[in-house]
Amino acid sequence: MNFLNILSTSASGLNAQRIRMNLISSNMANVNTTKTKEGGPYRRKDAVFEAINKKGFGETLEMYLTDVSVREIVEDRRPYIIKYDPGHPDANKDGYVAMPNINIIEEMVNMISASRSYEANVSAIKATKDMVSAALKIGK
Amino acid sequence: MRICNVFDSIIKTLQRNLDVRARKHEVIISNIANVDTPNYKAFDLIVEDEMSKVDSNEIINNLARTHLFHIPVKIQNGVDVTKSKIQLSKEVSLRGDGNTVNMEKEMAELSENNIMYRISADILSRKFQGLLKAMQVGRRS
Repeated sequence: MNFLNILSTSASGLNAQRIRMNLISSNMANVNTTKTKEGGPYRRKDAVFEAINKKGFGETLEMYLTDVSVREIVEDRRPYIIKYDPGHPDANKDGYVAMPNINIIEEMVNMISASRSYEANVSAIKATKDMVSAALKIGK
Repeated sequence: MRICNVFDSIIKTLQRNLDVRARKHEVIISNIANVDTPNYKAFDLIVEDEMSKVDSNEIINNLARTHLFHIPVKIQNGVDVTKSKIQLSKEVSLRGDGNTVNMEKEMAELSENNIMYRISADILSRKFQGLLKAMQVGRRS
């Protein structure tokens, strides 16, 4: 059993889910941000995952085993939420403000999903550790 | 008396079993890591079919049969990992992103596989302990 390889696959899963979690936190924190470096309100960000093949070719098992990585971080192109708030410094002449295109409920749901996936990978690492220590106990 | 048969084919079978379980573990880990990857297709390593196939030709003859009606001992010679099949899982994706990983199934398989691996490792360990015991008892008298 090439357990270092197995652990690295689980670690790639943990890493990807953590990046997703960071982006969700960033979205939730910026739910009312109307000024950004790029100008305009904050846009919702999301991570795009990609399965990366380990080396190996042909009909071998290695061809199917994949790590996961974050290919890119994309900005959500959905329209901004328009809110009526004439006192806001960023309000237009009719008194409307463009707020970030973030739905806080959607973010909460994504957060639960990311945290469950993270936990699944942690359990997987635990199982790997169990198996390795069982293998080391052979002959004792 | 045959001495060379101390490490008999049961040990070989257990070895192969451990190997297959370890490979299956890798497959499950890959599926779990990619649970949120769009268009990832879950796959399976089909090993149980191979394991349950008993080759009827492999009857071990070194166990003495003093009576015609004694049952001959049949020992399966273990499975060949290279013979196990890789197949895309038949799960239907109900998610929008085309991912076919079934998390519950993978987690159940993870713990099942884990337990089976530990059982095999434990039996192998006990096998060696038994051999060791036999050697030590002989020395003491």
